[in-house]
Amino acid sequence: MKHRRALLIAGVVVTLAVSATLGFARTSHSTARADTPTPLSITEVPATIPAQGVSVNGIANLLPPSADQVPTISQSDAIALYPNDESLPATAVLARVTLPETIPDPGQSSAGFQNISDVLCWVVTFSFPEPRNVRISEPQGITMPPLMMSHHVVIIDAQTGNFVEGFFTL
Amino acid sequence: MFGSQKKRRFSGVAKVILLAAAIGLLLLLPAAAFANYFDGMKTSNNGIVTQGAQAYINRFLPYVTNGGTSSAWSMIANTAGSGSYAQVGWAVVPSVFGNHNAYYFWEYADVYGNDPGPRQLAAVPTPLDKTVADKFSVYQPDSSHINYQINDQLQHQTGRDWTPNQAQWFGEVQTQSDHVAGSPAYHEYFHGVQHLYNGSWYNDDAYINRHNDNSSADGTWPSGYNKCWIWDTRN
Repeated sequence: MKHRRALLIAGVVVTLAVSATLGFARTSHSTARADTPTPLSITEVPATIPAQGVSVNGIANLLPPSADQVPTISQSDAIALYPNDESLPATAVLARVTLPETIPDPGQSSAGFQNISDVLCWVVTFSFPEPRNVRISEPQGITMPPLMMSHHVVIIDAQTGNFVEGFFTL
Repeated sequence: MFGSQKKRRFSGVAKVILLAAAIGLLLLLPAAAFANYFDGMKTSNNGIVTQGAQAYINRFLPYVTNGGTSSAWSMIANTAGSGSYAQVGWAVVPSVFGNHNAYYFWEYADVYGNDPGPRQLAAVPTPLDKTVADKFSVYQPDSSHINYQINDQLQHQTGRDWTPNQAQWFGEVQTQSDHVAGSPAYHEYFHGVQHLYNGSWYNDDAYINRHNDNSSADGTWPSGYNKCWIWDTRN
C-alpha cells in the first residue's frame, strides 16, 4: 500500500513537472476576447478546427471558416509563400483567426491596436525533424534554458497572401 | 513468501527510483542553458524604477550560423527573477526564420520563466539597408499591461506579473561563431536610448550604461550622449 502511495505521489510529481516544463501558464492577455464560444485550449494546431474553435497556447484563436468563405490564396500557395529553405514538411488549415494580444481588453481604448480578429487565414505548420531551440534571446544577466519546440506556425492572410504572424508550438 | 514480498518491495522501490530519475532528467534537460553574448547598453543601477525601454536601432544582416541567432532589441526586465523580461526588436535566425531573412519579433517571459516563445512579426523590409533605423519600444502603458511597439505602431499587448528594474538595449548572439550587428567598416548605431519613468522618457548616458561581454565585438559609448555604436570585430 505504501508503495502504491509512493507511486501515486511520484505520478503526481511527474505530472506537475511535465506541466511546469511544457505548459505555458500564461499571464498575458485573456484569450477569450472575441465574441465567440469559449475555444478549446490546445497546444498545437489541429488538422481540422472544431466548431467551438481552439485557442493555441493562448496565442491564436482559430474558428472554422463559414461555408461561404472562399480563400483567394490556395492552400498550396499559402504554404509556398513562406520561405522554407529546408523543405520542412508542412500542413495548412483554413481558419478564422483572432490574435488576442492585438485586441484591447474590455474597458481599454482601442486606439492603436491592430485588432486582428476573425480574419480568414491559412494557418501553416512547418514541422522540424527534431525539436529545436527557438529562443532568440534572453536578458543580459539572466540565463534562460533552451526553448525546445517542434513546430513553426505561420499565419498567412487567405485573401491577400500577407504574412500575419509566426509562433512556435511543442 | 518473505523473499517474494521483499522482491515486490524492491520492485516498487526501483520503480519509485526510476520515476525520480526520470523527473530529475526532465528537470535537468531544460537547465542545460546556453550563454549568450551582449554588446550595447543596460541601465547600470539594477535597482532603478522603470516602466519602459526604447531606442532607434539600425537594420543589419549579420552572418549567423545555422542554429545560431543574432538580434538587436530594447528590453525591460527584472534581474531578480528567473525570467521576467519583455523585449521587441529584430532577429536573424536561419534555423527557423530562413537564411538571409531578418524578422521583427517580440517576446515575454513571466516571473517563473514561462514563455510561449518568440512571436515572429513582419519581415524587416530592407534588412540590408544599414542606414535605416527602427524605433523599438517596450513599456507599461498602465499598471497591468506591456506594449510592444515598432516605429510607434503598437504590435501586441500582454499582461505582466513582474515589475521591471532594468532597461536593456543590446546586440546579442548565442555563440561567438555568430556575428553581432555591425562590422569594422560599418558600425551598428543605437540612438535615442531612453527609459520610461512615471510617464516620461529619460535619456540614458552611453558611457555610464555601457556593457560588452562579447570578446568578438567592440563598441563606442560617448559620455553625455544617449547613443552608441557596436560592431563585430571580424569582417
